[in-house]
Amino acid sequence: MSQPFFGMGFRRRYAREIAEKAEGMVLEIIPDHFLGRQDELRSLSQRHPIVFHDVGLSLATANDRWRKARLEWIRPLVDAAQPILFSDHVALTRSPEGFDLGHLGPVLYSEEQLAILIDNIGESKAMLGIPFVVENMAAPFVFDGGDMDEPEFFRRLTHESDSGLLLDVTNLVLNARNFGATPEERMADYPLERVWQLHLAGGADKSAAFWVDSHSGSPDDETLALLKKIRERAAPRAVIVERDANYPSFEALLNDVANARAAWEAP
Amino acid sequence: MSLSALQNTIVRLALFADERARFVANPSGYLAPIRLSDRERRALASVRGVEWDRYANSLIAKRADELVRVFPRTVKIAPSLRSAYSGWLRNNPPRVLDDVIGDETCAVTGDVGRDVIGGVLPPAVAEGLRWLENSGGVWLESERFATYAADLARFEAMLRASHNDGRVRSLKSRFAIPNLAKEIGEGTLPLDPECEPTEIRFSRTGCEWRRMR
Repeated sequence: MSQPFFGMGFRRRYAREIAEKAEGMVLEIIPDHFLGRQDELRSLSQRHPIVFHDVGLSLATANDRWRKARLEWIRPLVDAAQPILFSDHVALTRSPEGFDLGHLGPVLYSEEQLAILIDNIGESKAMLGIPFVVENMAAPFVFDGGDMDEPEFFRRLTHESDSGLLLDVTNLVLNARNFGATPEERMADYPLERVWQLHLAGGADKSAAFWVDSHSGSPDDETLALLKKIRERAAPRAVIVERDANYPSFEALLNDVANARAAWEAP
Repeated sequence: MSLSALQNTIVRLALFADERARFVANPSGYLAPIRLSDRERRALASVRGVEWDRYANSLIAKRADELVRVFPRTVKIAPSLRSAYSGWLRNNPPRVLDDVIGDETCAVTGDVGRDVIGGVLPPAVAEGLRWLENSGGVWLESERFATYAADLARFEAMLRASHNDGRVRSLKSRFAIPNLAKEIGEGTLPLDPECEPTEIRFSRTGCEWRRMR
């Protein structure tokens, strides 16, 4: 079983340090940050393995009028960077009538929703031409009455769309805290054999008796400890440490990546 | 399709405080005219009002955090900008089309870029322009703020917008806003600046301005 690449989300504030101190580290790119910057992206891809991460496809939305246009402007960036994976979330970010949530919205795990997602992932894969992975979100709440639970939904979705799972380990931990069950219990039913990428983050806030993913700290011990269990069934190609707030020194971020690698490789 | 109706309803409940209040007060009454299956009605009703509110507030907080980064100088003279915007947003959520600029662009989500990204607006900048046009401009022109507050906000938003999408924009003001913006950036808060009618032209490379006679 090959080792995954370990790395971080590319943020321009760290561009100089990445060039100087992180040669060969996998970088996760948000396409919006590189609009019109194909040359810079091409240069980065010559020094780093690249994965793309999007929040704008709104893969769950039925009858969406904007996805195709977004894919069309992302495609030149994919051509320039040749990423090994492209990811987005199993979520709504806009409604069919065109209101913009500005963040991820939850879905009902129904057969109809599954079919829409499979179609939308198929369209995205066809336009981008690279392996596609779908991410689990930190749920604000869970709808009753679905045809299946989240792990079964992801199992069917990844198999029937021939895509991988981007397992956000932190989101899994937070969902376990918020909705009952241990992370190990929740994880046991996930299609870990379909995990092609992992996300790790930290700094979760608990307000109003509810845990919220803030991406503002280092991955905690509970999250890192799960890597050993995931390793038993999964062979991800990339493990990414996410950081979107309370930005630390680059050395501290490198340390987070090193800790993730150590947790993954621990005997 | 029923799923479209379900998704429209989820998003409306998350974005419109008044619709959410009507739903929480009478879920079956609110959902009655919407073409949903019985199961979808039960799914929506299974989420408690406090959960909808918590989610809605998190969406507003995220947008407000992004918006204040578009107005770093204006916030110094109008510290309540964040709460004013948040209050307005509760019943005035953006449409996807609000983020669309030009013929070959599309909605963009992601963080607020400080850099040139070419052709499209980052969502927070588009949102800043939308707020100024529909509510924020009038709010900043109220007497509680410095007389130049609204024009300073327009200056900040238009500078960022033109820097990102390359469109030329212009602003006429009674004040030398670029100078005031510089002073505020350096830590000074001009209280009663002299009138210096000014015309400012924004482009991808920044702004040019001249005093008008």
